Amino acid sequence: MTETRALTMAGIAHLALFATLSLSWSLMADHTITYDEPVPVEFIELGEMPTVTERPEPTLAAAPRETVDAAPAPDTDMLEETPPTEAPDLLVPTETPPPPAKAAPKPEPKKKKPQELTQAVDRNKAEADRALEEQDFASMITDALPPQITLSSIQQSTLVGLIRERIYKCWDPAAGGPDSAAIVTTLRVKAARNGDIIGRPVVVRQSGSANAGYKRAARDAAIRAVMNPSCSLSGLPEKLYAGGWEDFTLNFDPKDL
Amino acid sequence: MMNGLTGATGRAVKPLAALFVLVAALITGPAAAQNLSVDINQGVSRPLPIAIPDFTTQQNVETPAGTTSSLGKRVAEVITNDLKSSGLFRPIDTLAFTTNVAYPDVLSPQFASWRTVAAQALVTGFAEAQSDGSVTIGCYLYDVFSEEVLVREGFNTPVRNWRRAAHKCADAVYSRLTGEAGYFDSRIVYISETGRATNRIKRLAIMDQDGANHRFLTNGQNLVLTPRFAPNQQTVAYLSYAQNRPRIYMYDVNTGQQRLVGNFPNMSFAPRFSPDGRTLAFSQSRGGNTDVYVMDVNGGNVRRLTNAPGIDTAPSFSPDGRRIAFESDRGGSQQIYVMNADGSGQRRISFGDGRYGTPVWSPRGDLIAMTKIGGGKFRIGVMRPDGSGERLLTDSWQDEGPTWSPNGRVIMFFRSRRGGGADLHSIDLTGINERRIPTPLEGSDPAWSPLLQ
Repeated sequence: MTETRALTMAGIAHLALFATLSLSWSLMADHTITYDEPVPVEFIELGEMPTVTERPEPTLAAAPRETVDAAPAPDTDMLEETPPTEAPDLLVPTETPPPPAKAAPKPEPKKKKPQELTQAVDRNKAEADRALEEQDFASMITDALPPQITLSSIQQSTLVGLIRERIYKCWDPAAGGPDSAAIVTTLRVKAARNGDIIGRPVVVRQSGSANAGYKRAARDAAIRAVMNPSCSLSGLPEKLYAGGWEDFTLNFDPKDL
Repeated sequence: MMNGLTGATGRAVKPLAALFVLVAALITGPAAAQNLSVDINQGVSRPLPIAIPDFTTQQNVETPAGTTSSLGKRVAEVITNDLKSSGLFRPIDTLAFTTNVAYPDVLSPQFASWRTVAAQALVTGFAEAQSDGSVTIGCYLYDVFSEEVLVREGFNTPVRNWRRAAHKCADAVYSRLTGEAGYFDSRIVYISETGRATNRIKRLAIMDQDGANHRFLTNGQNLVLTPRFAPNQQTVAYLSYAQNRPRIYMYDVNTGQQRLVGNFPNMSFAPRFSPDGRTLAFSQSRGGNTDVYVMDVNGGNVRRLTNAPGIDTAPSFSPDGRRIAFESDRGGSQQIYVMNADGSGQRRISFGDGRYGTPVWSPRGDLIAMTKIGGGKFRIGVMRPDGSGERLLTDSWQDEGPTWSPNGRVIMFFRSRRGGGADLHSIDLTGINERRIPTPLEGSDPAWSPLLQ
């Protein structure tokens, strides 16, 4: 019994020794390798998913968004392929056509009013006289005037503090390089009364001479902060909505960070 | 004036008056319309929550590297590991996911369910075997809140090379979200060590940045030291003590061939390439005086740049090739100096307590990494090229030999243990995210390659 056990142990020990030796042998062996030539990694176009059937799978039936999102697919531009020219100020990526279902036109009419007026005026004063009644003028003037005047300066500064308090917690300025701290991103934000952001914040301007990549990252980080549900505007004072947080700008400035 | 006009009566005047008001409104209007302007100059810095579900496959096909389905899973793992290791991202635990990603979801993610797991970014993709034996890795990045596509790229590569495609996807994601170049598709050359201190076997070895695809390049017969990548990334310069004499060799990673560059009667140390790859800076000791030299990579045109008494060594070029940082004990203790590439304008930049060694200029040019010696420790730190802004990143017994990631965001170094032995570690510039790089044996003297092409 003990003999068998001793034999087994000895056998295992031999095996272990053999294994160790072969391992060290393999390590000692000449591993000078003729390195395979670097295998190329090609970029390929991903306009459409290769051989994927365009038809939605049954599993996706519950996702009505899919038809909307399917629209960008045929666009053959790869994001990275587009040269990062100095157009990062662009508001939304132009690579993909805007989803048709967006509510973008809604806020437009208000903005257009002053323009329409100038057109009318420029075109022909006499014509304008005829076309527009006094009352129209009055209401147009009120419309053209900045609505913010309805908020007192105290109200304004209160609101500024409230909005800042909401947003900063969700702003993580992208890591960035040596000069990314100089990028100030200004977003125009339109909000619904329930706090939802209407459409997507629009980049009004970006200052700083950093490269396009940093600017794009800064833009994304700012938009993420505004769109983050945990930093929603809901619950801001109703009284300060009109002329206040219904439409405002945010300047994301990382220089003091 | 405006009041006067608007106060005037008569139909003819009124429109005119209105016009004036209008013009005034239009002039002040746009500025006033943005009246409520909120400055956000405070933020919260934390790793970005990112979801990286397994890459899918439309048709599960067997390949030499496993099925495309398992390949998709491993690709996601490589990307997860890459992004996590940068310290800038927090990959969300896959167990928390509330949705399965089927093939069509790659293009049309169900953003709502990704928002419920608090993901801010989403990486999806697929692995697809091609008839020619290659594999295509599709790589998509989405902003979960704005539901925007940020990256859409495909990488086609021989199957055995799938990890590189995964690294390229991770680089694309990193680059898009940080605005900087990535660094995941890169390699490390280092000195693999084994054996007792009295009979140490040192071999040149190469591996991917994450430790995968490890290979030995030399057989350990000769002692090798200080490997450095050339900017073209296919060549490594290093020191070899063949026949007990230190010589500078070049190793061609593609062909496996070695070439002797400099055969000097005297000791030479620490060769390092200029950014254009045409010049090597190194140091050499003659008659008890060690100085910094440069020479052409073919071994000709040797020029001496320093001549101060004492030891001048460890030269490192700035990325524009116009300056060289080096260490010198000319002032009585080991310190970091900077000079012009022709040797003019030498001046000391390190003035803190303790000693400083092995300066390495960041590929971004904004920082110099170094080893700080003091308080019984060797620690890795950085300072600006003018010596300001010194910051120590590690705190261990003996960390040395810093080398920069290609984007200048992470530093790799080797850490010696008190009981003997050493291994490779990396740390990001915040000093927070430190990790050990797995190597089959012990490791020292790492050199990070430029980004692969």
